[in-house]
Amino acid sequence: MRRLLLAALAGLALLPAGVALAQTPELPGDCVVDENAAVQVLLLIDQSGSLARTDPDDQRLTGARAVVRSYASLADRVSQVEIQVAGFGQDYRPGEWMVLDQDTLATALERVDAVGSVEDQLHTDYVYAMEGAAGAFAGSDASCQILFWFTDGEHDLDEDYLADGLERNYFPELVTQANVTEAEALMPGLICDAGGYADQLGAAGVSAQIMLLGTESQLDDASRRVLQGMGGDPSLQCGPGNGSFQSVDDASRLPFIMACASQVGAYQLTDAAPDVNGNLMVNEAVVDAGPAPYQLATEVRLITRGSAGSPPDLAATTLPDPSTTSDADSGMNVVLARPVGAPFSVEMSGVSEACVWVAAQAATPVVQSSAPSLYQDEPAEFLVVADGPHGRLEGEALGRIQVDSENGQVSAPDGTGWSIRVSALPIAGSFDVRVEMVSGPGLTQSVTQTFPLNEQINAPAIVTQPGPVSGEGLGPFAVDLEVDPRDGGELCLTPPGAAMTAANGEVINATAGFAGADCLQMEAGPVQTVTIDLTLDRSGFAHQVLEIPTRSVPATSPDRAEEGLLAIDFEVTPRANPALVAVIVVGLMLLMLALLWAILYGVNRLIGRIPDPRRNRVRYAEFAVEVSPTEYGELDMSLAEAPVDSQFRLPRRTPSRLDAGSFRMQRMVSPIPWLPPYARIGMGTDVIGAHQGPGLPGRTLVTEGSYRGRARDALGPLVVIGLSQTQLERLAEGTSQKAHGVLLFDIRTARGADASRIAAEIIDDSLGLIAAEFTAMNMVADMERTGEA
Amino acid sequence: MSSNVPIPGGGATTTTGRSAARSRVATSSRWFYASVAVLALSALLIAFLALGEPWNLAPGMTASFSRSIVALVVTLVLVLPAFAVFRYERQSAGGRWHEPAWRPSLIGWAGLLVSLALAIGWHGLRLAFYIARVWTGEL
Repeated sequence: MRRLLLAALAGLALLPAGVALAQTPELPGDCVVDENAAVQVLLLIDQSGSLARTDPDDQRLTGARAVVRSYASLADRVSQVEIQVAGFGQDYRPGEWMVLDQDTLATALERVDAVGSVEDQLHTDYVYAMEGAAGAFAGSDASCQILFWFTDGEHDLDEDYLADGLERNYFPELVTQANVTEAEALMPGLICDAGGYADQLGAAGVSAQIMLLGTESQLDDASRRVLQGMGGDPSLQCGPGNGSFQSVDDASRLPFIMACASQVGAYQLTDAAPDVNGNLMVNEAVVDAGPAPYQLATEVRLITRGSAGSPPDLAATTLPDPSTTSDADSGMNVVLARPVGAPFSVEMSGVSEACVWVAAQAATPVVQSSAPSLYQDEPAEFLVVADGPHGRLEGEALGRIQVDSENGQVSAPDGTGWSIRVSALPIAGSFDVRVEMVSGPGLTQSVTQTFPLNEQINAPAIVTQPGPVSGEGLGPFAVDLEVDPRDGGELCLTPPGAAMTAANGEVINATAGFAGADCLQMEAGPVQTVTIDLTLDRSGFAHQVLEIPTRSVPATSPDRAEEGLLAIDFEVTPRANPALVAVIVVGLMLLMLALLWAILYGVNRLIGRIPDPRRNRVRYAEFAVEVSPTEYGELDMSLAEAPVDSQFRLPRRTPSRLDAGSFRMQRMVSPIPWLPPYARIGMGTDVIGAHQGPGLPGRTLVTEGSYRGRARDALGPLVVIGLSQTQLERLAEGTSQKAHGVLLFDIRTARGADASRIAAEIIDDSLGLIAAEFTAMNMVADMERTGEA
Repeated sequence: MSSNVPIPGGGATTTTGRSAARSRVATSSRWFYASVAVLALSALLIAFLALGEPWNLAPGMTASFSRSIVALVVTLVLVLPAFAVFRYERQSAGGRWHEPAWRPSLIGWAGLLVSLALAIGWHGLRLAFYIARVWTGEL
């Protein structure tokens, strides 16, 4: 909803009258990186023969390459970057200015290799170096001029190589061993004194970045004055002091230090350091601990060093397409990753030291009016939101941003933006709202937004914008407005409609009207609720703020009118085909019900499985029963031949059926899932009698054909006998019959002769109970036949 | 639901007293309670997936789509299999059980019904409306 409100308010904002230039982190010498900046970099590399001793592995080349790459990365953020690679020793060996960007980077690196690999000069003459540098920048109209000066030692006209004398343009004679001290003593004055080369460079706006391979303590006072004075120490009185100085005594660290020292257009995360295991993690929290919210970061540069021959590895990252430049000799790895405004992480392993830089883009303020129309001499409220490089900023990130306005009181951010309250708008045709937004050091954006002001003419006015409206199909959709008639008059929609873009890119035209009319006549009175009808010319998925200009004419001054803007947060979808919805939902319900039925039925089949007699050691035995009627009309059943244990057999069983001789048990599962499964038990005879033997809940029954039992009846002990209808008739006539029976018996309970004896006892007991059941059934049948109570 | 609910591990199921039988009963009981837990948690998950989501699905609402699809998948992959286990273990229990107010069987059935009702009545219905709107508007 908050987004909708923002979108609605965004529709109220007019185009900015002017946006001030973005200010981003500075280049050396307080030079601001912006789209108008022209940058010139003179990379001045020592070529003295001492480098063969101090930097035998040419680590300066790797460092100088990193410097060039750093400035090349600026190319798309400024108007132009030019670079010249020059060398110095006893002479100044100029290069040529060339445009530096990603296309010419390879050529520039070749020049670095060509110049940086030379170490044939016999002396180190600072005067010639600075004279050449001043000459290179002479006449430059670049807005940012940088001298990156690398040297491995002090100013030195080496006595051992003077031979017949060395000609110096600042010394009237040839320099020989006899006067070399006198010549060298001129150096600091020529560079540092008023009007010297340091002043000339400073006057031209050149900032010196000085990199010394060695330690300051090894320098003589004169050289230290030049290097550190031009490198930013004002106490040494050498130039304007707008430069920087850094030294490194270990040549293997030189590329890392030079790469770190040459980062421009970014700020350093001083707290980012590897842990004791050499792992370095940079994520949004680490960046957020810097001076600006991580949502503004556009590039993270991880300059890391492992050990010589073993540069750190990029272990993992959640950011797409990081670029990695690794140098095995120096053990340095430079990773460039581009955050997208969301949480991220970049993990490096094998890191011994690191410097992490973040390039960020200042948030841009966008000013909106909270009311559709502004009136002179009335209070007003403006909403300021912040647009970052990756989209609009919301939530806690706003707390990191400072917003100031000279036009009114700025509130604290509420999660979406800031509000500016103006107690009374001026009596003028327009009102300029100027907002300055500071996202961090050097990250400042300001904007001036002009809003037209209406005279107070008391024409009908919409009091508040309507709430979100949603619907389907073509409409009409009713939108209620709160309208204050004031002195009465006419409120018109001009034009009566607006367009919105559907999700498939098609344009949907919405027509609005007051009951079919473009205008509404109102009498003076209290605030009224007025309904606008919105009708679309086509259906589609769309969600947009419809902006419909309004024009109000007061009844008291028909020749005057005021403009306004009606913003309707409108979401529309095509009309759903109800039959199709019903089919889909019914289909889904049927699917679910079918699955449920399948589950219930399947479970019933599982539950109704007949237990495995093999696993439960159940065997069956067939036996013969002598059935004879007694003189009292009862039946007497006695075991004609008891089974012995050797006659016990294993029943044949499947999960749905068990056959034990003539005994059959069949699983029965109803398709109606709430009916429990059961087992149908029978002997294939007209009548059966059954008794579930001792040890289990007893059950004796006599029934026709088969009876309904349980699957676990198959575990026994169970005695079942079968009688045919003929046998029953003969029994009724008083003739004894032989019946067939089956015993299901768990042979774990007894073995051998014991099994035979126990089986006989079980059958005997069961036959007595079955006979009694038969007798009772016959008595009931007789009583029913005779009508006896 | 009957007044005497058979439940694994309760009542007269432990008639033999043998360790194997006790183990079967304990295993059955664990499966039963696990299935009840899955049913209840799935219902909560499906309800959670419905929270805060708009009724109208529109193109580009990938996360909202995903939540409804996930809810249906949870129903098919978790709820229905859990209900099968729940039903089997409950039906295979031989004993009877004295029921407290919130007996596991009631929670299991409630979990199933809530899951199905939300999966069909909310997630399924909004997807059905979306499909029907696309059918109307685009085809």
